[in-house]
Amino acid sequence: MNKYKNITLNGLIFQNPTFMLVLGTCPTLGLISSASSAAGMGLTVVVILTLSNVFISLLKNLIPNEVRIPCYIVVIATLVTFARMVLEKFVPDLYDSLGGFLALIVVNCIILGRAEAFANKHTVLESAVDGLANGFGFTAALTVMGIVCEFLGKGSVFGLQIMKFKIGIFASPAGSFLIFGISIALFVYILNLFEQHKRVKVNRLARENLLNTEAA
Amino acid sequence: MTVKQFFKSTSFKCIAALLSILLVCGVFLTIMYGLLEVTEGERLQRAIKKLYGGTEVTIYGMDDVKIDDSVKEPKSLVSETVSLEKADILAAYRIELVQDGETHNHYLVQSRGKGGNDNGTVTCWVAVEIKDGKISEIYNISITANTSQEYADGRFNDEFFGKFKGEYNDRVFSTADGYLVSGATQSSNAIDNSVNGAISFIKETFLGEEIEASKPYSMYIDLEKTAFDKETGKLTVVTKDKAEGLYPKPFTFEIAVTADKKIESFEIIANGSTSDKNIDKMNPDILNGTLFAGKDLAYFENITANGQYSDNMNEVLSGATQSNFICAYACAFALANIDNYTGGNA
Repeated sequence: MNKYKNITLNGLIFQNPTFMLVLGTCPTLGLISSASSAAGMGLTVVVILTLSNVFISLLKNLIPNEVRIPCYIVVIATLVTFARMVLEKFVPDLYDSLGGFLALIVVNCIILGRAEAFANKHTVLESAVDGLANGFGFTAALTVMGIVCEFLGKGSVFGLQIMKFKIGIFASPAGSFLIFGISIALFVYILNLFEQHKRVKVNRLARENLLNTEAA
Repeated sequence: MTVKQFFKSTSFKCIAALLSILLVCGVFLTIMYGLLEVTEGERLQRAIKKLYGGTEVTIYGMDDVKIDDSVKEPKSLVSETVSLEKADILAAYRIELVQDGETHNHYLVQSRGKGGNDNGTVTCWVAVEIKDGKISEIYNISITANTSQEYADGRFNDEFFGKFKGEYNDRVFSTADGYLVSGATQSSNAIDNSVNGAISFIKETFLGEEIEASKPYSMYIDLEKTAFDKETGKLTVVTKDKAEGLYPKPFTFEIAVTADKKIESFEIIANGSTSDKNIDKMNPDILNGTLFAGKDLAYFENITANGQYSDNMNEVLSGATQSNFICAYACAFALANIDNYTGGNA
């Protein structure tokens, strides 16, 4: 159970693909000017990443090492094309708002990265959990930045107008870049604080144990 | 290597694995495409929903046949694409809707506007209301597709479309009116062309209004200021201010054309390049008129990509590309239209 907890925490926080590994920057910068587009892209990536991890994990023993990357790309491209068909059929507004970024998921380094670094070495279940964790880590990062960008750039959140005040730059990729940088800095800062707190706690416990042992 | 060795080799395993995956994926996508295909009928219903919201409308296609949700391939009022100078008309429908107990007649036209970024296009649905045999209102506009308009995705909002919507007063839309999306100027231009194309198509085809035949290569030309001087035998060509999303201000040229339709002389009277620095960057052989002398229309069609501006122009136009392009375009205009001005006695 601990194994799955570690995989989940790594994907969501400690190796968050957006904030810690800085992967998938192209859709991040292109789509976080709108919270709903960012969340839509994130959820699409969750599905594609989980399925690609599952299929690649299933096929890992059948695919010769020499052609593993072309095979992964074919699998990922198939899943992306399938996702495009589903979105165009059932969620046309989201399909339109994602535009060219939807097709670009094929070359999203998070998906190929997880296939190469994780799915081809682990079991199907572990790979599925990794896909979900990384996907939701990516979605959470995109959605949070999307909310901030949309609020500052358009005065709305998920399309709901909240205030009239707006700062135009945050509705453009330049503003997204700024928010992306600040978010990474904040995330790393908070994570460092957390690690520091954890270290202090461990040291205190160790010291207490040592004192108890000496006293005994 | 023997055949047996080949079938046991890693190469064969690699080919077999890759081909098997390709085959399975191909079959899967083919089946899924059959199940998830979005038909033309669905696209039309979506466009109607976007343009008219919840309002119930009745759609009529060719031969006034009603089109409902079950029609997969609706027959439009135009059987094939109609090409205009700045737009292509892809489909048209007649719409009836009842609002406040009154029946309103609309035309809905799908128009692909040319002149976008990198020679690309933007396709829009344009809905207009007809009253007393004339266009009374542009009801709504929605973008359905584009080609090569990476900067356009999601940037055209209600504020931009506001310039089109409302009472119609024979206005021709242009980026020069100041209503454009900054950073997507050429895409804005393609949308203007799409709307203008849809309106002139409706006027000409459905309302029987006569539209003056447009002159070839006149997209960037100020036709009101362009004139032929019989005494000098030269055509004074004036270009539009920041036409079609380009930067140059109006240029004035004096161009003489030979009887066998070649440029006899080319002179820049007023240079509309944005600054002296840009004038210096222009091709010197264009500035002194030597490059174009003796050239025919085919030459200008070639170097200006048939009159469509693109950043990826022939090297002859490198430097202040847009200014050089305007010069070449003016020559193409002169060669293509000289007979209209001289009555065929050039």
